[in-house]
Amino acid sequence: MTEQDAIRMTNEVFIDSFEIPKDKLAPQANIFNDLGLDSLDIVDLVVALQKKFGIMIRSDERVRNIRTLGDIYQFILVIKKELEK
Amino acid sequence: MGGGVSGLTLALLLALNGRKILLLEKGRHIGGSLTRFYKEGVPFDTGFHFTGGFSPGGILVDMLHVLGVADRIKPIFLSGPGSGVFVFDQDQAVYDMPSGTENFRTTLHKYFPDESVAIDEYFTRVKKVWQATVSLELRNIALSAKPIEEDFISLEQVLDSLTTNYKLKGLLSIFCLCYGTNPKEVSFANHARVAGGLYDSVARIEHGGEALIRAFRDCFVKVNIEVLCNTTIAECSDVKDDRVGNFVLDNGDKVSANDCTFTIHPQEILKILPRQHLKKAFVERVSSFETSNGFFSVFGVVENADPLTFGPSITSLLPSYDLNVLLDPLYDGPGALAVIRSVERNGDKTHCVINAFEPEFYARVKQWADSSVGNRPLAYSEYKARKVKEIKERICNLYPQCRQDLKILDAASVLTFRDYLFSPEGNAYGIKQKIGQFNLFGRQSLSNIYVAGQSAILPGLVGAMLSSFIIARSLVGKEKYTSFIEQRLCN
Repeated sequence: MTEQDAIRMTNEVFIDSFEIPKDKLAPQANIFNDLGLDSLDIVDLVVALQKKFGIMIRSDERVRNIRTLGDIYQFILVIKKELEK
Repeated sequence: MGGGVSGLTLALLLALNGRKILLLEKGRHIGGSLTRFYKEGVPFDTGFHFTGGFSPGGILVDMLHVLGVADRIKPIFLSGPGSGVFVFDQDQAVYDMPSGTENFRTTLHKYFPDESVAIDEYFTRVKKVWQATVSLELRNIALSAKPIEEDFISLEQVLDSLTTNYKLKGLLSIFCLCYGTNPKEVSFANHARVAGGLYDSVARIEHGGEALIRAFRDCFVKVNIEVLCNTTIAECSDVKDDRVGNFVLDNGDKVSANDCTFTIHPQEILKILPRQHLKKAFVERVSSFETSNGFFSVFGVVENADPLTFGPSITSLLPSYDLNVLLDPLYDGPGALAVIRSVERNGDKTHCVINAFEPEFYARVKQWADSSVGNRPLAYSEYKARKVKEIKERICNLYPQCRQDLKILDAASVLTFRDYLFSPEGNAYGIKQKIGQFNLFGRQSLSNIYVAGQSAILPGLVGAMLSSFIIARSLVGKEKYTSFIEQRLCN
């Protein structure tokens, strides 16, 4: 998976499942302050990402540290890389 | 909202902590799957047959104690030879598994002498999960349990890593039938949480779930819990600042409440919550939950049997060692059949009761889904009669001495369960507990809406009650709740 794929597919999750306008989706966008998610939405975000990327995400420290959209892109790439190993 | 054991537990816990409670139940009575029914004077269980957790110091004992109903509930343990038997049709192998984890383990050693390493490793891992699951200890109960490694691997993966012996794997995954998710789909952790309790002890309750319903009902009177049956929430209205202002009931009444906890099926909750205040991702998550199987049940009595030697016992007839097959909705061979023998009293009469049930999936009866009790089509009656005949024959083959005296008094398909117990699709265990799934549990994004129930953490009586004990902690407040639990356990 390329970085572009990770960005495109993650953005699709925000557009389709959280109904956030495309123009708001920048890597530096804070998912809480800028995109309006709250802590309870994280579970739904994790589930939607799992489905989109066909992965299993453990709600570990790395998920709790996510703040920006860019953090999610990187997180997805790391998980995908771990799966390839 | 929801008068099953989870709703009853939560209502009582909160009332004991000074909250004013209105309990709503869609059905005609409270109790849900705890309900019993009577046919020709014989009491029969509908959804609750046996449970773990009754050993001294067990989680269920503690919960009943805190609720103040422990002295009303008498466990009848299934122990001793013949009380827990698994018969595999494929090779006619019979495994008589005793109660108690240590007994279960050492008996497996006898049946599978070459597999001792795998057996011991399996039980070590079950124990590890129990030790890591702090919520199974009432004094230590917490909402956010830290996930462990075993939450992310399936039962099947663990078994495959331990052994290639399919018979052993079959026996170790047998309790999938007690929570309705197959070995491929369930996490090892959730399997261990349910199975671990059942290895430890299996008990029925004297007078079945009805004893619990009666005990709760009496307590409700003492603490002024108002119960409304035949009632549900039609609409959440006046939502402001992410809080529901009023709950409109289906009788038109408007109820204002600080908090509302749903203990019903997650997809039924989705129908009630105000859609415009829910994120699409939330709706997608809840919609993706799969409903677990129900059971086709046959209710009978053995006349002229000796109550002193009749029961209780559970014998499971298993056409395959592969639980993935037996819990596959598309499988149409003979099902796994649990045959429970018990002695039941009603007034001064004693009855030797047989209740047999096999997994049944909604798809099988969906063609008759639009019918209701009293107006079922002929084809459905024929289906039911055929199933009863098959199951009766299997029971008679198991107990040839009962052939003349076994009288089947009633039968129920998942449609029957759906229409009598208001369980969607007649399910027995709420939603399937699939690996990687995030259940609906705790406070929701509408901040005065909470969710508990058997779909929230673990299926079954213990899981349903436990979810309410955890939610009560959120609603009462940690410190007050901790001292409440301490005080009640010391009484």
